[in-house]
Amino acid sequence: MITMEFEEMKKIWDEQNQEQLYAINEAALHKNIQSKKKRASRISNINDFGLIAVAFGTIGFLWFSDDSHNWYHYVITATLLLIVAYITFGRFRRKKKELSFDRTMLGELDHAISTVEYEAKRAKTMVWWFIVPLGVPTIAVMIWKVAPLWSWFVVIGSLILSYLVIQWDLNRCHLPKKRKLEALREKLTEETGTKQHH
Amino acid sequence: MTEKEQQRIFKSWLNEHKALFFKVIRSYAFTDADRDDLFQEIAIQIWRSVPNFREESAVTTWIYRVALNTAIKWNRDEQKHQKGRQPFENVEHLLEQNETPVDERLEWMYGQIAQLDKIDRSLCLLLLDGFSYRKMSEILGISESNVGVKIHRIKKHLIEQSEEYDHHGI
Repeated sequence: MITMEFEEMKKIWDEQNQEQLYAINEAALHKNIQSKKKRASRISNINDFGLIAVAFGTIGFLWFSDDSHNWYHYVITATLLLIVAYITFGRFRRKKKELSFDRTMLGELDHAISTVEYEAKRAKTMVWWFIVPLGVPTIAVMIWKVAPLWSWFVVIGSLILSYLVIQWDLNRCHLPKKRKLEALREKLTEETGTKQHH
Repeated sequence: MTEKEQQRIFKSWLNEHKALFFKVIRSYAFTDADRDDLFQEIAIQIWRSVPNFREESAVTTWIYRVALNTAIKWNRDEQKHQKGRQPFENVEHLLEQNETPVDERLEWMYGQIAQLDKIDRSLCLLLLDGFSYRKMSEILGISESNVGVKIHRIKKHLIEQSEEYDHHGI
């Protein structure tokens, strides 16, 4: 039985530097980079986008469904705009942090885990500081004003939709991603252990 | 840094370090679609990283760092769900395979690397490209002794597996 020594493997490995297995379509790559650059400035995250849309939708509904324009219109609108500002600021801060490239692999994993933890925590607490503060005064006002049935459907539907968007994002994206990243981190930092293959 | 300058540096890195890109891509993506996708992700991260590059580290180390950090977190399933991504069949291919002679021994090595988990694959690439334990520890953020333990295990695995390999010309 012949065993390939590591030095032989290294020699075989180095030989590929002379052969280029692929040709790069530079024009297509350049186009993709440019398009990604443009997309990066847009809101693409479903969580942020969904919540901002719900907030603006509710503001619109509030102002167009009732001409009385009472004090609570201003309070709810101001609260929602503050929430939108908070979401936008958080997003901006995250995007800025993403532009750090001198991290070690461990640092990169820690950063990714803390980002996903922040997202998950925000999704979990969103019910309490977004849906409840928004839903309770809105429903109270609707009871007080004896709102028509269709507006009940719209308001309750929006609140349920907001809750579902948050939960979907949490279970579909954040939690599985967090588990994968934690597993990678554990694998990277383990000092000993048995051979593991996927 | 102007965008023109960024583009010029990116292009020169891409041309001078093609082999490095291809090694990472072949080790982490196993279909044409995935290789294209991962290549795009790595290229975009490298392009973005250009203004942050300081001469303190070698370009190779910098590119490896960014490429490996992107590759270990890359997940094709997640990418597919990102908004605004076109279906793969509508996308222009970024990588076209050249007609190069197939080296079975190299194919075997990539097969073995593919069997390792994502972290060990990174170490294996750095090891095969001649990085010292110290450099590896700087790239990965773990102690040199931990690098040593992992490298020992990877080498042992590769050598053991080679016993089962039907050699051609070795």
